[in-house]
Amino acid sequence: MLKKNFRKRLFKAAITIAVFGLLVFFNPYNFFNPFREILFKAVYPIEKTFCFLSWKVSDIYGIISSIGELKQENGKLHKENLELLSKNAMLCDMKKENEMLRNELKMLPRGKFELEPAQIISYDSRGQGNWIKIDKGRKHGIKIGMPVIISDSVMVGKVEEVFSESSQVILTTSSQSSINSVVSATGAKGIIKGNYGLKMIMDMVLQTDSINIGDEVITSGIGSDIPRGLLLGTVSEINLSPDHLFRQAVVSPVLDFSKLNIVFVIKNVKREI
Amino acid sequence: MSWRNMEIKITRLVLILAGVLVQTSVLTIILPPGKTPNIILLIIIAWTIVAGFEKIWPWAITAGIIADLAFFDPLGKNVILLVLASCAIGFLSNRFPIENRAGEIIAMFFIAASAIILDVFFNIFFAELRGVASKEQGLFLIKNIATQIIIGTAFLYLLYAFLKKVENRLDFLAPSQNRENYEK
Repeated sequence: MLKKNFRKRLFKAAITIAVFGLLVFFNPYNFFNPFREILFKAVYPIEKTFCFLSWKVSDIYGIISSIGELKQENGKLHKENLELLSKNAMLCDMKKENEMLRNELKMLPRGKFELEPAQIISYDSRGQGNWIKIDKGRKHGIKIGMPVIISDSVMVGKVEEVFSESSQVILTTSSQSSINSVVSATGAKGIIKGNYGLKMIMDMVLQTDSINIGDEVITSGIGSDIPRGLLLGTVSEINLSPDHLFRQAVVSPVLDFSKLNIVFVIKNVKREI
Repeated sequence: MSWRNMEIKITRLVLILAGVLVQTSVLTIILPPGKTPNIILLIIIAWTIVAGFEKIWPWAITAGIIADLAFFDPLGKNVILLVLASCAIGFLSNRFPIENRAGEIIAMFFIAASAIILDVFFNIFFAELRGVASKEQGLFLIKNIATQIIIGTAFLYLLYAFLKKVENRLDFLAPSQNRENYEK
């Protein structure tokens, strides 16, 4: 009897695995998106509330764990404040110089995008920084391929899927991401690919192009809706490609994507400026 | 379909949806990157221990489909994982009944550890299949296994206690009686 029961169970499991195995194998791209749309529409308000509450809990935990450090931090900040006051005067002058240089490099002036602020409502289920889901979708004018940034010019990813009230954003560190890029200091061009949510690899850099550790890597603006000049990260390692034909640079993101809460979608570039 | 049956189905569906939301919108914010165990997998395992494979396998398929849709995974990936885990746990829980609290905790630890290891290697296998696997990814996943096992054991124990209460509330038979019925 036991054996018969076991065989019955094994048969059920085998049939299920075979059917869904075939489905995985022949999985047509975006075929199941209408079902995703229904699911996301149903859970949207709860998802938003869960995310909001989780950030509150995370903040409270952060405050509790940092109480001991606050006094020390206060003294440090007071000292830093004095230093910053003196630097501020110097930066005003540098701002003018920066605007002139950006103009020369044909980079877009900062703050010249039509932005749509969005709150992150869910993250990659494994917490590995491959994708995020934002609370803005088709209703708000979001389209596939739109770049997603923070702090005006730091690129975090691009819109991959759009639903009525939410969108999936593939982060620049995801292995599914591929963006044309350029090293701002030397002009070396390459393609930035994500490395499973951990870092980015700038590939296809010509051996003759100059590239140094610490250089900033920005978007090149070639061949997509992504404007030129969005910061992707800084070069932390330089290697040869496996076939030794090109150079590869390991690019570290400038911020921890797991700490993101609010992002901005570039809906348009104000061309008149 | 009677109202009672409908109520049971709605309760189970709500629990699965809650599990998916906790995974993507709570744990990924509260826990450090890469330390989040697969909560849906733990829910299905705990449920199989409580109610048996026969009763849970259609729900393992449902949970897998919902997880695949919500996690942007290819449809079927989580279904295979959940049905496989549920079948194995159903087979084992019939043969090794847990009799005391200490035994329960040790058993939970081994079950959570096996489930998380299976989940990690399953992910590496699928990444390889899709051509997006890398050595760093594998190392990153393996590096976080220990933390995931500790967190997973705690979750599995809590889920087991919670689902036991839920199943009793839904007027199901006690787990031990349930198993005996399946044996017959």
